[in-house]
Amino acid sequence: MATVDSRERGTAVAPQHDRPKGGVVDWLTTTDHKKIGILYLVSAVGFFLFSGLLSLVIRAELAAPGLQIVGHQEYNELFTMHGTGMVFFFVVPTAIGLGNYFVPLQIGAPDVAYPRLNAFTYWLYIAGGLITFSGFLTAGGAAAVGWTGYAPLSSNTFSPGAGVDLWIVGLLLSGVSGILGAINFMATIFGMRVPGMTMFRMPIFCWNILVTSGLILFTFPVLSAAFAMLYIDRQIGGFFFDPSAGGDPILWQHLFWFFGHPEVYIMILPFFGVVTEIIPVFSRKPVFGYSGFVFATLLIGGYSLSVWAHHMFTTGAVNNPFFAATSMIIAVPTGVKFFNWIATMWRGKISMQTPMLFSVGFLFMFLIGGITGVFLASPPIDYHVHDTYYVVAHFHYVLFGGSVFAIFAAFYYWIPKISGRLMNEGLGKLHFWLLIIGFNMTFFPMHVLGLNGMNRRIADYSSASGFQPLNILATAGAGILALAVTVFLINFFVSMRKGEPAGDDPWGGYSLEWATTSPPPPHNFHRIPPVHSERPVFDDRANRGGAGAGGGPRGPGSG
Amino acid sequence: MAGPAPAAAHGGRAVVEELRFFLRIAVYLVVIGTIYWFVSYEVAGTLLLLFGAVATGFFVVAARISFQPKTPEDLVPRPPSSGLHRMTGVFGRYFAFDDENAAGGEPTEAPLALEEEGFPESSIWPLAAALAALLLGLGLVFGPWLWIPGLALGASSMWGWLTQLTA
Repeated sequence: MATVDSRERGTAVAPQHDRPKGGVVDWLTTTDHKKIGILYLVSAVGFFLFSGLLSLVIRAELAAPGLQIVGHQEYNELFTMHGTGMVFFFVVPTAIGLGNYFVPLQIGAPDVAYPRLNAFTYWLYIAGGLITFSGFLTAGGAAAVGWTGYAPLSSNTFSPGAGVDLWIVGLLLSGVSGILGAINFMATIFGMRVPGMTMFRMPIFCWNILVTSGLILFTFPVLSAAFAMLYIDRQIGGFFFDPSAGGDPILWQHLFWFFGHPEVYIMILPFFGVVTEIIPVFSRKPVFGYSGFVFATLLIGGYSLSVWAHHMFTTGAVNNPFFAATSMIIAVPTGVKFFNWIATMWRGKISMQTPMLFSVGFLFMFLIGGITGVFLASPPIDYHVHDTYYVVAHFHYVLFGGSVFAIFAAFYYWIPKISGRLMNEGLGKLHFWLLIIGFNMTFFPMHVLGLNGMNRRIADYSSASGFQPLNILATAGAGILALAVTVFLINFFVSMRKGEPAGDDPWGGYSLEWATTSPPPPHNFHRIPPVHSERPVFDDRANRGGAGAGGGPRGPGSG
Repeated sequence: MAGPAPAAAHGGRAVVEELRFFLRIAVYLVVIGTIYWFVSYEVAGTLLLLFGAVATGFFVVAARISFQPKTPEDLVPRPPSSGLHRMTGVFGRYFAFDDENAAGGEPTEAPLALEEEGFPESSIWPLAAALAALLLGLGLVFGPWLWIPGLALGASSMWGWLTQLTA
């Protein structure tokens, strides 16, 4: 590999590919990890917007008792495709997109280990998404079985029509895409770190992507197998999940949740990593307890493989105490992380710019989701609130309050690196406050609705139930959420055209992506600073006696 | 647990650290799988946990055998080659059909289990292969006739991919 040689000597790496970039053909054939990362992020945001529109229809329908906008079947399609889209086509691909762009940069590599495989991974994800969502175009409509596709509801008897088959095949393809992406990340992290970048000097984000990749390798094949079995049941006359022929519907739940619970961590661990990148930089301190973070991540990853059946407490077919214990114990490494985040900020020189604002928002919102998770891990409580809006509130606090807040933090933190322009700080703060107000208005009432007995996944509720006032509040909140996302989009488009140039390192960052230009050149680096700690760019600034070893964010709104 | 490794990266020890990543998971899965079996006697979950342990353990053993520390020769640029070249190269290494090695020439294969693929400037084949997967997938739903173009496109993109030269 020619580039390693020249990088080691600290000489400039001549750009090898100088042909004009940016045409459609270039985007279709690119193998550059940065372009593929951008493609991932743009596509994922597209799926986010579409799935978000579906949820707005859901909220509009639930604003009043009775059926106003959609019927029961359409409602089932809406929440199924909302969940499927958000989980499989937004949150996970966003993590893969950020990893694609920033893992090679952070470990000082010129690209991922397998660039063409990387491109294939992206296009396979798009193929899977198109197939999954094409169910809306078929006569029977899209899949209406919930994102969990429980047997026997997902059988031919109860869900005839091509929608479920398209859903199965689309998710199979996107699952394969995830597996290939995970292999690529692992090979990149294990094999392509720049000399000096030991495992325990890698940015925490890379560690979290590594553990996430491990979880994907463990669990996506199980999901693929389950989908293959379901396909055989539906199309070839199998009966894996058909009790009338000796099959077992509970087996589906085991297989699905053996995938599905680690999936929750696949959706949150990369964003724990994002927040762990941002908080030290905006506190002007090194991260507190680096190895503690790493081992907490490893523990969460390991534990997450043994908690799946806490989704199945009410089946009566699993050992509840075992899964209650393993589920609750996950709160311990997560608590370690919270302790370390707070300790990192403790007596730091905190600057509350937009990325930090979203990260702090993440801490509070994810904490609520995490704590209701501990409640739900207790079988007696779970029996009471299973399949109610309490559960909906819980996982939205985890996935929206957690993942989505951290995703926006990552966007504000890293888009200047990707584009070379800073996002507008005022609009960013407006976005944050609208988001956190709309989010809590939408999802906090769901805790109360769930405790009062409102079932999830049902389009209607009785006018005598007293559920309507809180539902109106939630629907209004959803409107504010839509407004917040619109503000983000406006900010993005305005900033990309007229934003202040970011320079190489607008935040005074620590990790190697801040050592190169914004946007980085092909194959990433003209010069890589020597790596002697987990903060190579910070060390480099100190050694070169630049603008003070502390550096400091210089973006708009600082000081 | 190991603290920060010394600066001598890419030596034998650094590789071990990466394998520990898998070893920990394998050990954990064996322990939790055993406990799970004896508290629940539930087959599906036990098998999933233990299969996970077997797969991880297998990876640890295989990687321990085949991972080699990087040597300075690995950093010497290789001439452009294609995936097919490399596959036949590996084949030749094991079955002694490799002309280059037989002639005593400089081996083009880096002695790494982890093959660094080189960096193709661009490639249409990933997109074509994904399009083939799309057709094959739709064929599963709308009928096997879609597999005919799917397989043709898949085969040609696989061939194009393997024969494309990378630096």
